[in-house]
Amino acid sequence: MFMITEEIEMEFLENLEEIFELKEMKEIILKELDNIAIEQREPFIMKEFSGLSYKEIASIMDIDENTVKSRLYKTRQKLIQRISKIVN
Amino acid sequence: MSTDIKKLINEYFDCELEKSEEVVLFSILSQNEEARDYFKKLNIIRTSLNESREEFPLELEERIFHTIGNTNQKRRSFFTLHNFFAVGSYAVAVILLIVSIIFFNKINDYKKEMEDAVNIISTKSETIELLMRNTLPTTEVKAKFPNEIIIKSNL
Repeated sequence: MFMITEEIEMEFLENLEEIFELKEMKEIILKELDNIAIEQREPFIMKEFSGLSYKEIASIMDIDENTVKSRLYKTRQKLIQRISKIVN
Repeated sequence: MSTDIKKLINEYFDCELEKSEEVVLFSILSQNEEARDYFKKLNIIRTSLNESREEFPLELEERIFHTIGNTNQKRRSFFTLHNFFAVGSYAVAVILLIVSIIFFNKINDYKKEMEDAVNIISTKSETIELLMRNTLPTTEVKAKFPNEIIIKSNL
């Protein structure tokens, strides 16, 4: 089962090298993050940068775990929309 | 692609997906092209951001530490409260022990008094019995039949 995700990752890395440099992509993502509301941005940063769990983020931000999930989801949706223009 | 699949992929990336659901996700990924595309894009975000660990906002870091501090304080206050209850329960236990010793001694005193009273009563009843016996007149038993049979005890 893990082969599927590994295959996808490999495939994506090969394609990505052709399409865009990782650092440039990072800059675009960070720029896009700046445009996102702080309430939505914070859970994403906590998740991606320090790998905190939903529970930990919820306790830090004093919000519900489901809210953390939905905020992460919304932030990712926005980022995906942004990078779709480049990747596609 | 449905939102549920997207949420599953999100949870997988957050390492919050259960093992049983992982199987479902992998089967979806093997069949659904859109899901695979979404997965790829999330992977792009993840890999790109992994390059920039130094950019974690200081303000957020402070907040995280602040929350950890608060949790520790809560724990400490809980322990002090816990100690208070322990000390209180020990004090109550000691008081109960002292009270039970006092009651035990009092009961022993009452027991002795009762035994003395019973002894006095028994000696008095014996003397009363003796007095009663001495005051009674001597009895004589006479037979009605001609052949008298006298039964004497060997005592």
